[in-house]
Amino acid sequence: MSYRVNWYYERYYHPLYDKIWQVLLTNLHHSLRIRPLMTENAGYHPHHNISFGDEGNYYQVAFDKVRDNLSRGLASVYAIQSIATEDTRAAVIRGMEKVGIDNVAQHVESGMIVLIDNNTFYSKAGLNTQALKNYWRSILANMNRKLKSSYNGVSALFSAESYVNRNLYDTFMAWEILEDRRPAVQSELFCWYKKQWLDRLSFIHLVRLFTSHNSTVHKNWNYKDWSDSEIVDLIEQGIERILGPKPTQVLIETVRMRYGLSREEIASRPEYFESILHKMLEDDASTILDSAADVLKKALAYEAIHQNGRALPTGKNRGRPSDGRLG
Amino acid sequence: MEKIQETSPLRFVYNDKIVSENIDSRRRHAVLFYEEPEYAAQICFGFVLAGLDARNSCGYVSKDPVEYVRNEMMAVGALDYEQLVKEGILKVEQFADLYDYPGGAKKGLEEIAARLSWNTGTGKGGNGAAARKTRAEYIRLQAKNQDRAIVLDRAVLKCLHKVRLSEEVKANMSLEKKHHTNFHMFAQTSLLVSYPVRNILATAKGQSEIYSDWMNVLIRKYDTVIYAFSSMDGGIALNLA
Repeated sequence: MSYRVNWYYERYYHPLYDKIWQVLLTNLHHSLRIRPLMTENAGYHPHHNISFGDEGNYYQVAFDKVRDNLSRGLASVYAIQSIATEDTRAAVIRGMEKVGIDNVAQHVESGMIVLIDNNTFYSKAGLNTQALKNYWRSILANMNRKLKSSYNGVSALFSAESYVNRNLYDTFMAWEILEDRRPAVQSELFCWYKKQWLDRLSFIHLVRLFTSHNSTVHKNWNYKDWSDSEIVDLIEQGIERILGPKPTQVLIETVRMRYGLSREEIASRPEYFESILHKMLEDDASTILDSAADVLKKALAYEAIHQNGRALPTGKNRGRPSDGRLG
Repeated sequence: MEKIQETSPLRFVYNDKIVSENIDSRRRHAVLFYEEPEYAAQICFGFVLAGLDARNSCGYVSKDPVEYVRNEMMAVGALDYEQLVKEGILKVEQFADLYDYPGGAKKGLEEIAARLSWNTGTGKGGNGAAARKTRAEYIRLQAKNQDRAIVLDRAVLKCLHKVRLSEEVKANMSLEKKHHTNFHMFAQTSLLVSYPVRNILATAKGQSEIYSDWMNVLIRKYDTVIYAFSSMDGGIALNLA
């Protein structure tokens, strides 16, 4: 099935098909539970995911992921750490060896592990979103040439650190959105975020993090898909903390009646929603947006991937976590 | 998490948010949807009292008898009602329903505008002399318009139109669609127009067909909306323009 998907995308790509395909997949995942089958058959999870971790376990979980990828025949792109010097490169290789990966250097040589300095994306592409996209696609193409048919897919771990640290997050976000419009179905992407970066992101960034990724990834590699309605549920929770439930609901309805922005559209047009709130509530809009951002951050970083323990949040209209898992 | 209060209806009117900013050189017109008449009265009186504090001329037009409004207003805020009326700073008028007004709703609006005005020239129109005396500076600024009536700074139009039956709602919707542009008569007046709604949330959510359509029309016409739920649930005031 996945090969058909690849063939389809490569030959008959049109943005509208992506939309239709995504809707079909989302429905099928939930009703027929085909995603685990796709994962097992193809050997990869063809989605764009985002995960969060604390500084302490940030790299450890990534090393575990690379090890598991190898056991499944998946090539790995590891681009979340500096390998600019021999020392830092050696530290990464030692980290991989510590989690039980034998002959790391040999895997690097064969192309099953591709180490990329986490600053390379910025140095290669800078502020050019298209260049960023092209660079990523060139990595995939190189791997394909090198590995030919000896691998089941690519699992990539990316970091936005070089952009976050330069306060250039908008550029990275633009790439995230662009990439989402044409999912790289031969690869699974993990945007590997540190929790503390969340504090640097605006309300719009946070909503875009949800909408530009297929799933958030939580403890035990538990994936959670978010519908637009569920994202707006979170935004509403944040607004309710400040205004209370009834005023929040009439606020949302007033936005619809006056500005034609329906509840579901808020997730896809957060900029418009934010500008409307500023008009409606003037200075108070910031307080409300901060509260909504706070709820979004908590949902993104809930049960971060390296942690064990509780299940996903189960608020109103909250969908169950999808059962697709990898690793 | 910080709580905000400025969006609560009473804080909104007492802090004069309705009159805070003009739109295209005209003053804001606000619509108030309320579930409890007592709560609505507090909000409407609050709007007038805040205006009187700022030495704005204020009008209050409702279907209630003037004496009744006088007593209610004095119960809400300590004010020298008789003196303010005498000076022309405050005008309280009783008005029949626009729906049944002889000559149509537009004529009715003109009548309301006339009652909320005083003439700066010959003294026709009621309290002209007193108004000139107390609002000399304002009138001097309006010198070019000596023969034209000057309307009050702010006014409450309360329950001028029945909206209980679906026919009445349709009639009001038609009035707002056709004649809201005639509200230019009140271009220099900050207006607060109030309407009762049985269940604001359900109506806003579109669960009340004709009432929901009607609310939708009004939300698109006015510059500010105030939703006053039952007094226990508070409400919210939102700028729309």
